[in-house]
Amino acid sequence: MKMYVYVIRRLILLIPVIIGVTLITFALSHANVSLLIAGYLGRVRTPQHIAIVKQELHLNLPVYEQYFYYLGNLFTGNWGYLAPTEVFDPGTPVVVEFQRRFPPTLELAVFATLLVFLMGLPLGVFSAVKKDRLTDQITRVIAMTGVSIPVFWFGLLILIAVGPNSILPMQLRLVGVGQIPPSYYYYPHSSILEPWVNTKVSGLTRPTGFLLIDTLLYGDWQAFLAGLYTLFWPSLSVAFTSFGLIVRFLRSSMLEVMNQDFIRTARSKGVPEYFVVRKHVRRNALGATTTVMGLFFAGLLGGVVVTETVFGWPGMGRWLFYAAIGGDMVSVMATTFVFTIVIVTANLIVDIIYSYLDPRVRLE
Amino acid sequence: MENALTVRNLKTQFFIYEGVVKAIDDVSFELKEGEVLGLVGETGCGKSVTAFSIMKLIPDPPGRIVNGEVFLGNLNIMKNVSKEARIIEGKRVKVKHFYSVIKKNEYFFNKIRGKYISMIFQEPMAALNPVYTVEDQIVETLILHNKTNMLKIIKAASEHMEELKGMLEKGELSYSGDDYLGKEIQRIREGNGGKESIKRHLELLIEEGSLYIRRKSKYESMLARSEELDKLEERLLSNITEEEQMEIINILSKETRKINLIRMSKQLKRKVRDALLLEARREALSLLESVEIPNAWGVLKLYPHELSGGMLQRVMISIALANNPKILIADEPTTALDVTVQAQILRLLRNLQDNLRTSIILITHDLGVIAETCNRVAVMYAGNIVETASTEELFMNPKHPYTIGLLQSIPRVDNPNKVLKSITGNVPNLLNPPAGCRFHPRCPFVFDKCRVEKPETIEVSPGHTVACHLFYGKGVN
Amino acid sequence: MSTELAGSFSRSLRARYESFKKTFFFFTRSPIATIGLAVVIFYILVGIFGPMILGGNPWKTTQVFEYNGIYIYNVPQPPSLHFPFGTTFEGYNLFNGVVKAARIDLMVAAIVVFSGAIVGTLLGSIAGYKGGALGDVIMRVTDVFLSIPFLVLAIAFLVILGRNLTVMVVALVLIWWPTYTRIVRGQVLSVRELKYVEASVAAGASSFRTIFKHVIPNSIYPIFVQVSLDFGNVILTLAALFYLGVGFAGYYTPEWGNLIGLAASLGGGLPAITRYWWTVTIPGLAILILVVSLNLLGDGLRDVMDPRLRR
Repeated sequence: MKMYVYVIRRLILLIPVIIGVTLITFALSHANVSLLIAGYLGRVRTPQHIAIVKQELHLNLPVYEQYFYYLGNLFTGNWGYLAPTEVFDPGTPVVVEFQRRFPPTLELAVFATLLVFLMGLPLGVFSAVKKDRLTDQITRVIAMTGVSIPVFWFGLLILIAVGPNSILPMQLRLVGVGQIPPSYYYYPHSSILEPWVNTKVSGLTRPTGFLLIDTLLYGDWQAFLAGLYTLFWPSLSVAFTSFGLIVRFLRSSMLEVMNQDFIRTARSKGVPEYFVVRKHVRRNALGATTTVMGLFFAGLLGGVVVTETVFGWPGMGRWLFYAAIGGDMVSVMATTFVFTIVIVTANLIVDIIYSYLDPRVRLE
Repeated sequence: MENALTVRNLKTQFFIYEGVVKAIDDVSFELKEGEVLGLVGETGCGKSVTAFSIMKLIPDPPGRIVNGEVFLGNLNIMKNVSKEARIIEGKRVKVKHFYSVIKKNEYFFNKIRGKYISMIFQEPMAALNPVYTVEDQIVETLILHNKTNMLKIIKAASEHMEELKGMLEKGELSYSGDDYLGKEIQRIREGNGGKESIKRHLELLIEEGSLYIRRKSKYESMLARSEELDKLEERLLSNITEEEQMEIINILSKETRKINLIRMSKQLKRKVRDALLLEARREALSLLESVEIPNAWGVLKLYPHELSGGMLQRVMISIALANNPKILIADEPTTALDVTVQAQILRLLRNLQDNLRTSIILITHDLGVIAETCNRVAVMYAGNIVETASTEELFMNPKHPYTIGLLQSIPRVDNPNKVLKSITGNVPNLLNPPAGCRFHPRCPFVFDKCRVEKPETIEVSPGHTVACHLFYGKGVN
Repeated sequence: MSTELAGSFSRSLRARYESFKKTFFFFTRSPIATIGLAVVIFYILVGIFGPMILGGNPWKTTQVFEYNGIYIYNVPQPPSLHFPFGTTFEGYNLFNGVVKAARIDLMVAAIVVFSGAIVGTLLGSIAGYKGGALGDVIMRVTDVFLSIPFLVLAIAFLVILGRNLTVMVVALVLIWWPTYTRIVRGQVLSVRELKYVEASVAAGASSFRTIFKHVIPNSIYPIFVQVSLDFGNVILTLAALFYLGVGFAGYYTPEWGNLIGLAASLGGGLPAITRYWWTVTIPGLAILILVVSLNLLGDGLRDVMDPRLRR
């Protein structure tokens, strides 16, 4: 089967999943109606105001009609406004907030995933090839410890080590700029990254919203490097607590592949051992690993949420946290929905990559 | 005339948690040049392990070739087996591997596998890598073992590039030869051939050409070295002394690694690499045609799961015979196939053997296949070879009780007796094999000596050997 | 008919029990896995008996005050003889807190994991065995739930439906059952093809009986392994939820994550954590040791039950 046919089929299978997700988010957001209304009211809560809000939100209509309005709002981008109880920027439309919050989370997630692959893939391969020898044992211990550490605790430990109050030299520390909430980054040499964070003050625009890309676009090398350093620690926090899963799975799938007949055929052709591993084993094993990716991403995003809170990284995770504390249900549901869509997309990409790696899958 | 392959005292054991499985116990046989030797026996008797031991494909934990010599012609390829590991028999048997020795021997053996001794396997669907096309897998073995040819192609292609560059600069596109150069010109002509595309091609060539010019001396010295190594290799298989053999093996082990064609082919620029692949593809095509695969061009692009068992087996045969090996080991090639396909494959093997003068070891448990295809037969039981003879002699005049039992248990249509005869008892557990002759618990002619002493191999008539105490003293020599 | 069913079920269970004993002996050969088992048992004992032995109110036990110019606050004390783990903010005796937390964490985790396993297994068996439209629907639902990041769904539930124990358990169960469904369905699909199941169906056994007698006992081992791994993950998620402040039962709940969160919220952030590092390190270590042991246990179980890896 050709690739694009497979892609189209996968996309079609996506639709019921998305519908299911919208059903869940809809059910949740309308489960606690008073909370929903409170999000629009602020301090004034007279019965007339409540009635107006109810009218606006179509709360008096039967459930299925409400669902259609909900879907309609979802697709037109009318996702509501941040509740007045929000700590940062109450009252902004949710979609606008997304433009600000989504890029940092994506940045962190992508960087963390890169780290996971950098750490996990070679370790997984080594661990399988040198099975039961010292390298294997040590790798498994490290990987397992990583998965057993609570993400927030690890982040706190990192902050103790590298944060503003640590005993390390000034260059290596992450220092927060003031205590003014919008600029709640931790970063070294506060002066370097401040203009990027406090855009209202410095007047700089952030074209893409990604710290690293923006600094590159403006050619500000120092800020880029400082940003890299700042991004590294939270990513390490997320990566270290997730990469054990990849290592373990890669190891077991490689071992499984190495027992297959065609590996023996390759050896009988005279292919040197390192090449057998690199060409034959790896491709098959990587294919199998992609099946565990979905679960992996779900856990990764959970870790991202917590890490953003700990490090003060201004992404969707931290937004979710403050929304949860403040009872801002609209934001909570919006972020949940977007996180889910991200994972669904990631799963799709992973499936497509898998079908490229293993042509047998395309027959399904 | 020396044998194609001589196996002497081969002993392979598997060290597992429960103990030591003595899979192969002192196996010796000879494969003469141009013949088909059948290796027949029940499941679990050790025929596949013998084949893997010859090719040194025994997985190192837990297996180990403990002893033995294997001569390819008069070159002992199984030297130093005992140096690769030390077996400590104490409370529990421990095996200590010396990885450096293993590695050194591996380099040499990788040359042998695929080029001098090849193997085809039982289940073709499982034996081919499912994520690579047929073409990829055939080309892999070609590139691996034909380094000199490939280097020559690289050199020729680069020289063609110079020529092409010259032609393009003059604006002349009239060359229409059949080789790589001709194809390139044709491609340029088809791509509207106007001034623009010529200029573009020229730029591409200049860029790639400069890379070749920079590396030209390196490639040429590689080619020269490769040709030297080829000559050394040829010497290795002729009649030379052991010291010289050792010396040549040492040189080959060290030097072969340096000419790493696979890595090189990734560094080559597109045009030269295309030339390489074109040649390899042509070769692969002719290989597929030689194994009677219809529509070979289409089959090249397919994946293993898109082909049937019979076709895949042919593909495997073509891969195994790609480099014209002296010896082909066929491990139950037809067991997983239908009877009709089986006949085709066997006929194919015999044809190929006639054309290429390959010597074949055919492993099977099917006596019918043996009768049809083999010149000589060796019968194996529980890790020992119990009888060797020419096919006719074996079927007419079996001597060993096990062979007799096997032949008697073949059901015959013209047999008035409706009850099937079988050999009583079961195949022994090789963890604790019976003492003395391993067949003695099931032998109808057993006597005391059989339980205690392992029988020697006795030649009862020219070319016909038996390992049984019944024939003690009745040997020809 | 049902006594017969129960009889055969228990017989197959007894056979499992015998092989389980053999498995146990293999298991103890690996020292690491045994350590894991020992530590987990230790934690369980602490959880059961600890609070009874210690008793009383964990907080407000120290009276060391300081005036930082703004208000008087209770300074956390480092570990000492009197307070084995020291104290955290507001005079909370860390030792008491950590020990009592063992009970809460283990109990909640146990409820969540076992409920999730049971629900997931049932749904998975139905999906795999009956197949058809129902099976497809179940698997789609599984896909949907697996697409929502674990923590996020729990946070959403707790925010909207209130922060109490029931909501938390329900949210966590909803997160965890899909894994079991997938595993069990895979097992069912492969067991279904086995010849003896076909024979059982051909002999006229109802599907219910077949599921119970053949399918489930065969799938138990991977479920066990998954349970031991999930335990650790549930505990980590619980701790994370409490740290974020969306846990149940108030500010001073003895729960490891909450104890760490106390430092962050009450203490005033990073400077406090750096200065009074034991308030953060010690509860975290408690979590780490338990989860590592659970994972060791799971690994040991898997190594033992996988016939290929057994030497």
